[in-house]
Amino acid sequence: MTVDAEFAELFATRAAAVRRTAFLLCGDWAQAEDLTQTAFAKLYAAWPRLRDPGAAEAYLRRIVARAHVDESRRPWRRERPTAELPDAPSPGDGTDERVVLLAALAAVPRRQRACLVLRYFEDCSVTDTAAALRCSEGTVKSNTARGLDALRAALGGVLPDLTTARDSA
Amino acid sequence: MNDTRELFERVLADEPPLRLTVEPVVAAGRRVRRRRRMAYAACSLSLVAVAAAGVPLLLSDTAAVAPAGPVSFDPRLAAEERRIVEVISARSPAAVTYRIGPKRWDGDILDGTVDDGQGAVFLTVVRLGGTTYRPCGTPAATCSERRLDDGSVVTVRLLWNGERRLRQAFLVRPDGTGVIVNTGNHARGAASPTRPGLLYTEDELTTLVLALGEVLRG
Repeated sequence: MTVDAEFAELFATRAAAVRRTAFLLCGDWAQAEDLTQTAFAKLYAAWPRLRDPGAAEAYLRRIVARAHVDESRRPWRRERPTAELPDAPSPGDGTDERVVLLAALAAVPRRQRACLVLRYFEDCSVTDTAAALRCSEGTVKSNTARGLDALRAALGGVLPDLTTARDSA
Repeated sequence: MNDTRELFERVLADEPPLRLTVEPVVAAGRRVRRRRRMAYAACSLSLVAVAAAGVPLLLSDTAAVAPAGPVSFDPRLAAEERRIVEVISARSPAAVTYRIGPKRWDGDILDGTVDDGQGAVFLTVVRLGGTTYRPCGTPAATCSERRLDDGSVVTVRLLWNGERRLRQAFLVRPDGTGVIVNTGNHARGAASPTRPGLLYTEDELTTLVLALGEVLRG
């Protein structure tokens, strides 16, 4: 199998999953697709050094998480937090519920959100999350706990409490 | 943990189909790789130059600052770019003007704008290397494949994204090399259409990608 064929296969199997992670981090599908493209382009550039699929996935995760966190260092792109969340969802309306969930997620600071997504969506260990975000394990633990608090506060009782999640942080 | 994961899954429930394909990713990856090599080479050359100049260069506070010269452009790439532009101008519908931008041909991608007076739209040429991608394997509004005598496959497909349309022509040779030409009914970065319909018909884009395939062979 040629290098490009191997890469194309990894892209075919992992691009959608990487985009999902990127979306949870940034909250916008178009931006998530851009982040995915950037991550895979960097992976392609590093491909000769990274032939192990496991290492490639960790590399992708790291690029997406870091690219998302680094965005906050660019003032012209910095998020503008809104004072209020949208109204609570009406029962049975999935779209409204997603709007509320997305807004709640957006209310969580970037680093804390990245910790939540890596820990609870990607199922990364504290050690792997710390490596991906270039911080200490203690920082990951405190950011995760704070992120869960922020998420719970943003949801404001709209959805079931996240007690289980808080306990495992 | 399950509660948070479930929350994330609910946020992802309206996930749109992935439009990203591997070709532009590979092309972007090659650019990243090339930039890294160039940066590495530039650093090495700088170190050599500093070492050769020695201490006088470092200590001199009266050295004149030379004015910046013209930006260099690889002659091979310049020649290739000129041929691409000639082909686009010759094989596009009458009255179409073509403008390169915002970047020059880097060996992989050439972005540009075509205009027939009814609204300018983007036109991108991408060189493929060793692809195994089958464009008709991705959901599209329309997609047609034609095999040529030499074993190459020409594919033209139409993708819809709201009001925006994207028409792509792929020429993929048996060895996986080839060319893609992308165009649409909007200018680069525009959120809505900049002209009523597509500038190129399916046949016109096929003609163009075949002609570009001759220029970008090997």
